[in-house]
Amino acid sequence: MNVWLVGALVTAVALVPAVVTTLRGRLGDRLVGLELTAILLSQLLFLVAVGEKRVPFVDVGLAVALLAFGGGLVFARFLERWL
Amino acid sequence: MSIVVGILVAVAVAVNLLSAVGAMVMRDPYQRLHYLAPPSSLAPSLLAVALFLGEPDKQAGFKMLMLLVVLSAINGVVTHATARAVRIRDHLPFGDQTDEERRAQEASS
Repeated sequence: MNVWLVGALVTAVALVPAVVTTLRGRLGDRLVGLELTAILLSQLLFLVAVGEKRVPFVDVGLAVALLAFGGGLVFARFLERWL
Repeated sequence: MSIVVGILVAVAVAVNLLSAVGAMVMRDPYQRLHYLAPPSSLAPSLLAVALFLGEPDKQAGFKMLMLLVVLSAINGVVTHATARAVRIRDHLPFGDQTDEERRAQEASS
């Protein structure tokens, strides 16, 4: 296990409080937790790809970050009044 | 060099972990939103430096730089949109007008 995979493991541990934030509280709190989860998940996927020496797969983390941007904006828009 | 890379990765993941814990223990969404900034700006910066120093293939480092740019750019937008949504939701009854709509209606009447 190299340093990148150890980093990925710790980032996976950091996902636990982020998911807990997502699963409890009001809708606004949950949305913040969801955004934090996406940020951490993109870095986790990046570190796993580098740790496994599969550099082309780092694009998956990048795609997660970009998709989370659109998702976060849509959730925020609907959270204003309609959810 | 591997010690420097290890330290950079350790600090980056520690930032991620502490930010996640911080976001969990805060009271309201406005306070929680502050904890999105370190994992989307500081941690990718440290990881990018670590990748440039520790990996012979520079492609991963450049991709992490791209991730840093993406996360830094979108974090501000998403944070603003989320805070605005929570504020509107907290301070207006469901289905009521926004402040801007109310001001426009008062001005026209």
